[in-house]
Amino acid sequence: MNERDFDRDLAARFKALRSSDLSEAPPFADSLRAARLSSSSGGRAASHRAAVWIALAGAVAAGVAVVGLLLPKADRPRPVEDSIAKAAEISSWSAPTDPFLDLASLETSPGAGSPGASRSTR
Amino acid sequence: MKTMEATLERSEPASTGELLESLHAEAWGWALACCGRDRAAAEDALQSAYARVLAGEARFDGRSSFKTWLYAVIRTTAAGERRRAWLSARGLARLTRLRVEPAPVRGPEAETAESFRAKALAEALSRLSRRQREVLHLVFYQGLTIVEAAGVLDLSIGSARVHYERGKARLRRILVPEVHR
Repeated sequence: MNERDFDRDLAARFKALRSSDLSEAPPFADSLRAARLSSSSGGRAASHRAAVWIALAGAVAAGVAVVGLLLPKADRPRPVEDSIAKAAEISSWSAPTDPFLDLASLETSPGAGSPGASRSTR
Repeated sequence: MKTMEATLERSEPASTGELLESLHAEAWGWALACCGRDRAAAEDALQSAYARVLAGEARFDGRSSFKTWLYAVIRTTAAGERRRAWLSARGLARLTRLRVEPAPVRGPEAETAESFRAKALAEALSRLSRRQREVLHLVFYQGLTIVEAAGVLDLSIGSARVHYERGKARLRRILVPEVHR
């Protein structure tokens, strides 16, 4: 079978397939009715989806608002009474090493020299 | 047809319906080709394409003929439906069924020499790549030129021509095997 014969054969096969398909095509009225139905239900589905998204966005916004209201409360300055009590506590506090700072009871050894005397005069 | 296309550009719903009706049978054939000859999928794709046209989601801008524009809408709609089917378990099952046993062209009672040839062609087409199958369908089945087919498939003319030649050569190897032995 040469190229031209094959083209003719192919065209005949496609023609057979086409006539077979076209005889089984669904009625146009049915397809159109289904299309109109799916078009309107598609619109309804789209509006339903939009409503879900709006509700979701509303919930997220409400959550953000609640967190926004609660967070500054945690950082808010404490009342004055709290600050006074804290200051009193700090001023009455003493460190365990505070007694070492008292030098009045210490005795100085005689060979240690006296403070302020220069090395050359010794 | 020119008058119909002109009225479509004015967006008159009744005329759109008339236009769709005039192309319905051929559009059905194209939907079948786009859906791997799965009847149920083709019906869904055709209805969804009509719904897109009627809802104004797909608008005819007059840059091509109404027929090639409608075929492009059907092709993209079928591709969308395929993607959705791929994502659903039911779709996966359908896809598997499609690959294993292609839908018969006709029942066995109507098995004539002509329907046998049509069936053999359908089976041979299922072994080509999608692009090759689509180009050959548009040229031999729908009677479009390769340039028009390239427009429907959103391909360059050169690319459509390559798909056409390779697809035809492969069909020849499948349908006329004795030549290549």
